Amino acid sequence: MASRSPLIRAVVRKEIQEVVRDGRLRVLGVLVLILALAALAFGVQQTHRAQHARDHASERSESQWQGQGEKNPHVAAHYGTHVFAPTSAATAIDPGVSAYMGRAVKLEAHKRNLASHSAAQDSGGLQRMGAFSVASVLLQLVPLLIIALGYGLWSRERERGTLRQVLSCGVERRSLLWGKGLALALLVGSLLLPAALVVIGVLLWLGGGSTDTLLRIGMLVLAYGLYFVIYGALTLYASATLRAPRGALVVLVGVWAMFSLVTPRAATEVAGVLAPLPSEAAWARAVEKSLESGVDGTTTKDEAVEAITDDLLAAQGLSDTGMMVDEGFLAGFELRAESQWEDSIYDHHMRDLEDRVAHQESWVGRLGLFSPFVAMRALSAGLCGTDFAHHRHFTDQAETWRKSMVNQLNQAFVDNAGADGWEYRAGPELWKKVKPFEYAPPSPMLALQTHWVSLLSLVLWTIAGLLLAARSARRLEVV
Amino acid sequence: MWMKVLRLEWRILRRERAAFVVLGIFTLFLMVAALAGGRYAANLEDGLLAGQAAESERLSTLKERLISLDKSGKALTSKDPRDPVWMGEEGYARFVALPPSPLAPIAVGQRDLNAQAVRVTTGVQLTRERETETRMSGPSRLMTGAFDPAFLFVVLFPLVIIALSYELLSGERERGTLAMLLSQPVSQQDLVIGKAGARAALISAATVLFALLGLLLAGADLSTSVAWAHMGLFALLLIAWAGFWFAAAVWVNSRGQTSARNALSLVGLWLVLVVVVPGLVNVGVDTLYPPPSRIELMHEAREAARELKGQLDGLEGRHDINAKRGSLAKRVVDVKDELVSKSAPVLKAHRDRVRQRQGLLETLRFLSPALIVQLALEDIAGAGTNRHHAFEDQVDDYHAQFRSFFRLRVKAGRFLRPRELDTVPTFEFRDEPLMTMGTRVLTSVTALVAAMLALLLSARPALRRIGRLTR
Repeated sequence: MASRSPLIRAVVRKEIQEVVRDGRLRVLGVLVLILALAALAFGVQQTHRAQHARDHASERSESQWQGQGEKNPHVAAHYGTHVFAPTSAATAIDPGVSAYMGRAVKLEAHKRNLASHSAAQDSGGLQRMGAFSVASVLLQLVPLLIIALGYGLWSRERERGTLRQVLSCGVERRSLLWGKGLALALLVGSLLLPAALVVIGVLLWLGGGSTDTLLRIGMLVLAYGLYFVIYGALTLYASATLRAPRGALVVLVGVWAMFSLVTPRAATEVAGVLAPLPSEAAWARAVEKSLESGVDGTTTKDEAVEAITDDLLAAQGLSDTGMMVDEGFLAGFELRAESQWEDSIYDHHMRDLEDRVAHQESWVGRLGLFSPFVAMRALSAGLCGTDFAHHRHFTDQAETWRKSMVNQLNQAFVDNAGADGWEYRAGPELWKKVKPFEYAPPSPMLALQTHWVSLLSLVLWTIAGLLLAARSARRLEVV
Repeated sequence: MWMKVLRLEWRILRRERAAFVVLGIFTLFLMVAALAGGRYAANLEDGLLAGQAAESERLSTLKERLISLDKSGKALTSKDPRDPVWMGEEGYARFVALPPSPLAPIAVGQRDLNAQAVRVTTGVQLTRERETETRMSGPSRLMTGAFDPAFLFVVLFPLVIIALSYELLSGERERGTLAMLLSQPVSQQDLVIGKAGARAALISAATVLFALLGLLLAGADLSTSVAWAHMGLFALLLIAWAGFWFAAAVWVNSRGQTSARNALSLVGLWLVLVVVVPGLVNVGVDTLYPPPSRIELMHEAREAARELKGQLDGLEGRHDINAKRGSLAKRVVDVKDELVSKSAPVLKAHRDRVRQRQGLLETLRFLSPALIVQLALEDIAGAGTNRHHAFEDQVDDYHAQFRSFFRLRVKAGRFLRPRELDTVPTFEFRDEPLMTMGTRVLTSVTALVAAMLALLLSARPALRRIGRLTR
């Protein structure tokens, strides 16, 4: 290796010089850079707007809650409140599927609502034709840049006849491959490095330098690095095996189109067929049926609620004492029992629905074996916290909070209503006691747990690509 | 002469295996996409039919119960069809749907995001209650968009044309046959137009044919004259779109570069028009008119009507009293009326905002032919925004009629009678006239043709110079 290194350096220098002298490639590189930075600026602006909107909405919800006046605690539970999905700094890089999932959850007594108000529903129009984010530039445009820079690395030399000259001088093919590969990596790297530094800087500035943020950034950089290596290796392979430069170019663009245009749509359609979801109406019907007769279809609501009430009373040491209890006291217990029953039904059906969505998403991930684009897209959204798993993490926490809120209010009814019963009214001091919802984001490991298949397929593609590039260099046809 | 070139090119094409492989793959995708689009359309239609079937069963059961209760003189129970409050809020809720268009399989469009059916009740509909019997889609599928024919035509079709045309002249030159061809009594203009024409005719004919076949397989209803009018618009649009890309290839070839350069330039153009410009248009629209937030809408309406909503919750949240009876019921109706009138301006502001965005988008579509084609295809498939807005407006009108029907009965404080059920307002979607949609699509076709002619005209001067081409 040591004896070869001056040679490799010479090859690298020659390839880089060639590209730098070609004005159009220079323009192309700068263009991609500008697009990446513009996407970043746009992403940051959008994230700021979303963050502001979210804070504003949370404040309003909180003030509506605090200012709801005097009412019975259970009536307040009906009035309910809203919580809003978090917007993290990473959304500026990759909005993932966040725009297609509900951003707000209405939390109220008696039912668990699906998250609603997705941004996509509000924006209408053509988002799916042209998503514009740092991730979309990295996922779609940078591979094309790699192809444009690299399709001629072998094939152009062959066309010009310089390949024969070089090889006749006794230069090893392996040194040429190393030189060309390194040159491509250096070119792409030098174009991306400034953008990457800006992106990382912005992420740190927005998200703070916590270990989690650093870990997410590190994994993102590594994953995108692998992704670009795959394209670089495939480009070298096509350039070596296909006779003419134009053939290499056309085939590479075709492969790119298959990977990043056809496969994603095909994969999500196939996943939809393999793991279908129910209709909203069918789901709602199933919930309604279970609310009447239990998940198993044999317990009626009244029986179940009565049994739970007895349990609750027994837990307080109040069963069968024959004691006269206040109307409000009993009503509060019944409400708690009723909400326990309802919670168990909603939990069951929501878990079932979310499992099915997650199952569909995991099929998309598995089909990522056919396209590094699909794998990288899923992984990127996961690492940026904008995939379904993170959404589910949020709605689960919101649900836990809802239960404790409703329980707290019903307990206040039990404790304070006394003989007033339903006439009892609580005031702002009780509303203040309900602690506002605070979301604790998951550790970056959630992304790896969810998307390990995607990571695996990236690694497999990298290995396959490198092997192909090396093999094609060994078997290179000279003319 | 021109015809001679066309015939010659056709003979060459027949022996060109690569062209047929590319075309074959594309038509295969086209069939699959038509089936996928058809599957989505069928799923949607099944959902709508299921919703309608469930509704008619519910309504007829209610009517039977009402007839038997009407003369019984029994006291009201819960969920009693004689009770106008319950009937308006729940029992007699109407399932109101946007029917699919004949060529629905062409494009899913915004149909997977917008409610295609709404449940109309006397409730205050700050945000519409989606009534979806259609299978839900996972977030990845929603984000990616459907594998429908519209996607193939807008995104992949140009790439196929590029593969068939990037070396129209440069290939002849590189093989050394161009000089020979030009020694014949043919101008390069005729030559290139003939070559492009032959390929354009082949690909247009194949695509329209296979699209038609795909639509038939997908179960599109082509039995009406409206369907054939839509089909005609669709074919025109496709031919104009193909023409635009062949013109672009002619223009690029007239520059006299190598085939590889031509391919790079055409792919670059495709990238700009199909990927970059739509992205930037979205950025522009989002920056100029940020999407109005439904969360804000909800808050504003909630605050505008805070006191009223509080009263309403005070009435409806108590389990010891029945807010659906007697004077309380009337009070609830009044509160809801006020709620509607207070939230109306907020709703209107929200809607105006959405329409402004859409208006801007429709103007900006002229920045990229790909946007033009996408919107036109959605229009033809009946999945466009214009049609959906018309649906929303008509639902709002209907909601008002429905509310006022039941409000009158609640205020009068009397039971519903069986024959009154026949006078409950019904909903029928009025599609916009074919001419209106046709004009929009034809405007798009005209824009494409204009762009095509501009490209061909600007290629002319270079094509006249033989030396450049035979160098």
